[in-house]
Amino acid sequence: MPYPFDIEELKTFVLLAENGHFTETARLLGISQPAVSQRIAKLESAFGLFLFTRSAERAVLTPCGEKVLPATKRCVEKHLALAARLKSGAAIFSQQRVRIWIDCATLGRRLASLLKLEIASDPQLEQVAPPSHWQEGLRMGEVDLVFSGGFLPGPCPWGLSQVHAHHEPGISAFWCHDKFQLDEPFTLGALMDRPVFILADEIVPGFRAFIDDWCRRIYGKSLGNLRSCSSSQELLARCEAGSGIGLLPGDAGSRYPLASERMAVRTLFGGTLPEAYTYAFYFRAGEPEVTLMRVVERLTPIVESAFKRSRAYEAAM
Amino acid sequence: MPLDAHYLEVFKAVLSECSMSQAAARLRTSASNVKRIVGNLEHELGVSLFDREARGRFQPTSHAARLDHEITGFMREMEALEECVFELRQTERVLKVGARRWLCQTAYFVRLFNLLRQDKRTRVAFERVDAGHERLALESGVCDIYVGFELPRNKRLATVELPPLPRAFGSLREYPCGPNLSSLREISWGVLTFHPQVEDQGIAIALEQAGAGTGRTVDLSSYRKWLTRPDSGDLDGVIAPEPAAGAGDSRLQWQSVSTLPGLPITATFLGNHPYGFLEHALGRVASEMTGHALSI
Repeated sequence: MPYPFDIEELKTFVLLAENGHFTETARLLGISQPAVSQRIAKLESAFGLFLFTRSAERAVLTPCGEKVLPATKRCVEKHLALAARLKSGAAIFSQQRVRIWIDCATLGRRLASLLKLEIASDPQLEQVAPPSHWQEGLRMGEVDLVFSGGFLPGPCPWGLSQVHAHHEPGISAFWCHDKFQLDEPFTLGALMDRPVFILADEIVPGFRAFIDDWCRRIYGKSLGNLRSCSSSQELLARCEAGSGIGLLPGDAGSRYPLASERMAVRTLFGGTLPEAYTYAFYFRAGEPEVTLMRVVERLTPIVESAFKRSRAYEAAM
Repeated sequence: MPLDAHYLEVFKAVLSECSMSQAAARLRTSASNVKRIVGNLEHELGVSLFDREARGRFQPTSHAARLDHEITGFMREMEALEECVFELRQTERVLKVGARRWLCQTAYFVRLFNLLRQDKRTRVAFERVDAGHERLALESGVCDIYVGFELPRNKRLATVELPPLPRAFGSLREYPCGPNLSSLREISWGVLTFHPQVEDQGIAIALEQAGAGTGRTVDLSSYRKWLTRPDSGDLDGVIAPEPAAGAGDSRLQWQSVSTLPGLPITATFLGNHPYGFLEHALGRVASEMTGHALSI
């Protein structure tokens, strides 16, 4: 028996330790809840240690469980990374290129094409089609490196590692001068009954929740007319047409062409959210591939300069 | 699935033996089985792992070396985890023994506890458990083993029978004829009884019939009072399990009453308890305690 412990049981332990609920763990693994309990019981017997305290629904780690968790996580991540690479057509056997996907949803056209051009000129990188759900795609080995961003850094997804590449502070609000007259200094309160456009939650998770929460806390109610757009082009088009006020994390003006004669642009939360808009590289945790790390190292300053150039360009327009 | 534990075993065996038939012999399976598994692996990975051109020239390819290297890296993480677990087992485990207050104050329990402590596999600690809370204490993990009267049968609980808890006769004055029961006839005695141990209700009657005269049944709280102040009240002596050294009035003398049956004591624990050694440890303790009793 080459492995001392069952890898599925180890995986179940790590997931349960991270989210604390049997039902959630069962859902993530695609098994029934009693199956989760059974795996944990088997692992406790194999370890000869108590890993969780015996309570009804919530799983709380024992001191032993906490001490053994890091080593277990490393094992599981290593297994995931290796399994993914072995499954994806034996990538470890040939000097294959690093498959990268750039999430352009919030980059703006200019920046997206700048980055794609840089990457295309690199012989070690191969751009692939967007995986249906990029986190799963990374874990499963459909792609090796993902460059994606959104609102606030957020916790790193399970089984993956992240390296931050770029961030912008605050939230940008923009609207047509002549369609909306808003008081100065500009606050979210001014948008209470106005039509407001944001990107959908799938593109920028957590943004809508933040706006709602903030408005409820400060103004006692959430924005009455808040609408989601499925793409940044749609959002910009609507705002330029004067249908409403747009809200985007970070310095939208540096990424999107917001014609300054017609559009008013303001920044909120500049001090409170210094990393409102972050972009990061994601790859499989436990991935030992040195090439991958070198790629990330090389790309990070390229990304930073691309953002700078784009900002300068938009400012000049 | 190339990382399947079974595939791995086969691959490693073929690599180290440098022969599929020898690997099959070592793994006690057929050569055709090994061939099939290696074939599956090569097909899934899309590379050839072993050159099997001519007879006697069986060689692993560089791909096999690469795969071995990757797998070894992963195995090292597993071994590190195993080491971590072993270390925790040595240092972090505590065996919590639960018992009712009256039991933990007996000499029998002190001996049991010390015998458990001799087991190097874990540290031992005591947890007091109150009446009615025994099963809850086990199921919630407050204690790992409950020692006392047998609990109602439950399919999730396992039990080990321990030697019966012997009773002794405690008194301020020593009775020179020893505690043979007829000498009790002259004095006013009581016997500690437990509810709802039905057989114990009959113990006073049984003693009377054995020629000990008429005595009283004494419940736990009265017994405790007598133990600390034996000269208050009108009892000359009490039949009860011998208390541990230091429990009760130091002037009391205790003589074993071997003619009386001992109290039935069991150790109970969760059937699926992670400490897999409980049954064995308790068995060892039980036999040592029995042997010790016989040697008196």
